[in-house]
Amino acid sequence: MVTYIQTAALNASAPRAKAADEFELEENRAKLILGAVGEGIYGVDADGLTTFWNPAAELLTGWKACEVIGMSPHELIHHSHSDGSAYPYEACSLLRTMSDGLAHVDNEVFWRKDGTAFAVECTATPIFLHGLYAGAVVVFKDITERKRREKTDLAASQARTDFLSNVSHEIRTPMNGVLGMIQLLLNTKLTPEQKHYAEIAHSSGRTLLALLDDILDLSKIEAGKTVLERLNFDLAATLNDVVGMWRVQACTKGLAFHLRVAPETSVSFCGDPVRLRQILNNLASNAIKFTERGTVSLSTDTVTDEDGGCMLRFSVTDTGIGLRPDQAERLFLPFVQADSSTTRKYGGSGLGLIICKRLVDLMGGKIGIVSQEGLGSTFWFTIPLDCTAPSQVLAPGTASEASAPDEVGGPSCRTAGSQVVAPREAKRNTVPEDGCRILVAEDNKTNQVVIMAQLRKLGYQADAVNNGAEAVEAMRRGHYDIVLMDCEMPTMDGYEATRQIRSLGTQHVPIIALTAHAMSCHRELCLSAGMDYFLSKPLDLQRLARVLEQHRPGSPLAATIPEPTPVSIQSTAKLAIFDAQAMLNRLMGDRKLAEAVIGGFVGDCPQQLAILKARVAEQDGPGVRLQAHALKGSAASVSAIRLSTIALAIETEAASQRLAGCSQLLSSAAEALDQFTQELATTGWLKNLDYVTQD
Amino acid sequence: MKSLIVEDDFTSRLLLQTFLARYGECHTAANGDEAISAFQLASSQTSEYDLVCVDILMPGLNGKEVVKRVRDLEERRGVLSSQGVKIIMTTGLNDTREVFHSFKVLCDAYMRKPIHTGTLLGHLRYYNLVE
Repeated sequence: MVTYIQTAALNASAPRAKAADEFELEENRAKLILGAVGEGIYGVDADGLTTFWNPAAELLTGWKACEVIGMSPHELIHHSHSDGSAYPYEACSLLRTMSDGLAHVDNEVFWRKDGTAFAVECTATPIFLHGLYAGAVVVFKDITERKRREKTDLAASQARTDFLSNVSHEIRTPMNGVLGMIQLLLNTKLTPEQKHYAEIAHSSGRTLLALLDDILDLSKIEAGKTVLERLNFDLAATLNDVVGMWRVQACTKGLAFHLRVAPETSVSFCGDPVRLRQILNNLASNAIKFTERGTVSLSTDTVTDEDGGCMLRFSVTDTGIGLRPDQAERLFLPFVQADSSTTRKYGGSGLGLIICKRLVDLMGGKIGIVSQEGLGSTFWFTIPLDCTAPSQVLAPGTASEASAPDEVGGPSCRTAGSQVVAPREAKRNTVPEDGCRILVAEDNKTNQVVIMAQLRKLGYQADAVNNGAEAVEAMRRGHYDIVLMDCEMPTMDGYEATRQIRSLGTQHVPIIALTAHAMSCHRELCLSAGMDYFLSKPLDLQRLARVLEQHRPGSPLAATIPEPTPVSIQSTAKLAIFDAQAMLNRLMGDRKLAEAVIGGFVGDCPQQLAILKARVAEQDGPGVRLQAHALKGSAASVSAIRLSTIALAIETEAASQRLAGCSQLLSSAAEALDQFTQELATTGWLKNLDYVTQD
Repeated sequence: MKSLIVEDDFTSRLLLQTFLARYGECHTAANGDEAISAFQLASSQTSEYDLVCVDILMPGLNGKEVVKRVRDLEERRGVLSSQGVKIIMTTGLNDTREVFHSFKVLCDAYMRKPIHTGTLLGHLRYYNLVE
């Protein structure tokens, strides 16, 4: 019976037993999993009390399962924030989010039984029973190690940025010294070969400096150290700056450079004009660099973004080499140019565009490119700019070369190279690099031959014409950097020709007068006609070379550094009181300027002498030295050689603490000033002087 | 071209001012502190100077310190060194080390006094400040 019952029971409960087995197996499996995983896992019921607590949780928190079951885990391990302040249960991030789904927290700490804390990443999954919240399972792990690694990574990246920026700065400082000294070296007497080497060194140095600039800038932007300014600025002025800067470069390459501004564009904005200009400069420089013929144009218009906000859109379009789509995609990554051979052919760091992109991002705008290989590219960017004066608009013509509104826009800007009217300056292309073209206007054939030979010898290219009228015509047709103009010529003389050339309204070209008269009244006549310099015939080759070098365009070496005046206290009496010729030479024959400066000096000098006298009386050595130095400088400015030399002597005496000698020199100085004023009067300088005095 | 002349000597200042005023707005400062104020004012009005001529030897804030401060101000504003104001140092000094140090504080060019307007004009043309 029993057996039966047992059997019956066995038989009856067979499926149930199987279910129980399966349940046990399932539970074992769950226990196994819970015990095997590295993450701490615990369960809470609807009241937030612990239902289970796995071994990993025991290990991580130090709390045993038996101690925790039935207790609130929040009170045990989640009771305080990382800074030790209380973390009330109601505010618990796990609780709060449990009701509405999965909660994930990775910026909080859990507390161990021993009172220490660890950074934790945890995920809470709510359990719903018949649609009601029944509790949750929380999985957590210790991420202290990861946090520390993240912190060191950040510090490492910061350190790298700081290093880059420091290194760039440290290189730039002595580099500028090197460049400056090469500049001075170029001022000295060099053989053409030496000069060529020095010039290459100079231009390479400049390239390096530009690269450093880019690295420095990019590292600053990436480190988040770049702060945008909010200034009110004039958009037209900014655009004009950019155009002014690049038009010359475009012209020397034979490219046209256009600016197109949509007529409704406002003129006053609030933003960072320096950064805006930087982006535009970068894009314009690229456009010119990669375009061999045709046009580069910069256009601006106002667009509305998706949110209805007002954006300014700038685009730089060129007719250059263009890009394949795959090249265009990678373009805004650092150190990427279309292909590596680009770097060799065109130079550049490849950092320009990434800097542009970062800056545009920073400004809250977008940047992009539309390009077709072989046809050209349009780089555009939009930035939200606050308009400060909505009523004022940038009318066409405000910005230089702003064109009619119908020309505004993207693709229509693209013009085939052949349709573009080449700018006048494009003629430079025919001149070898660094070639300076000279026009000689001289009626006498012999003189013409001599001058042409002299110019050839000096390495200049020159064309000759026979009279003033031809000179004016030549200037209208072609481009010359310097004109040598004979004053007396048939048909039209040099003075009249100069006046007409000046009235052409083209770029100021230095005109150097050639005349047989060495009288100063002729000099005045030349200068008043608008000539820049004056050479008397017969022409001395050395002098001609020097004068041409001075007037050569773009030459930073306009004049050599004069040798210092030798000091000789005894011989001051023999020195010139006033070297009018030296002063005029220094001021490029500009008598008006000379008169203004002398007038100022004569008014100011007695006061300077008085101060010097007072310093000597006070026995103030350094004061005497400084004041004597100042007097020396002012006197030298007006070529009052004697006075300047005496001042130098006083400076020297004061420097060696010999103030006794200064008193005697002081009276010589006063005497020299008197002589200077007298000489001015006798040579007719004084009568025209405007006495400018310091109030 | 907008220029600023920093020069304590009246005569030299007058010469530069008379000459540079022909090419545009020209301001003068008689010492370094005035120069820094002028420079800051111009920056805040976004009408920056294109050229600054600074005398090296001045009582108070000397020329090199002026250049340093100007470059610091520019750097803080994010102006790249290639785009910064052109600074020409002027001095009666003939010490090569002094010149080198001036370049090290990031000036662009150096002119011996007395000023030769041809040299100055050469620099201005080189920097595309005048035609």
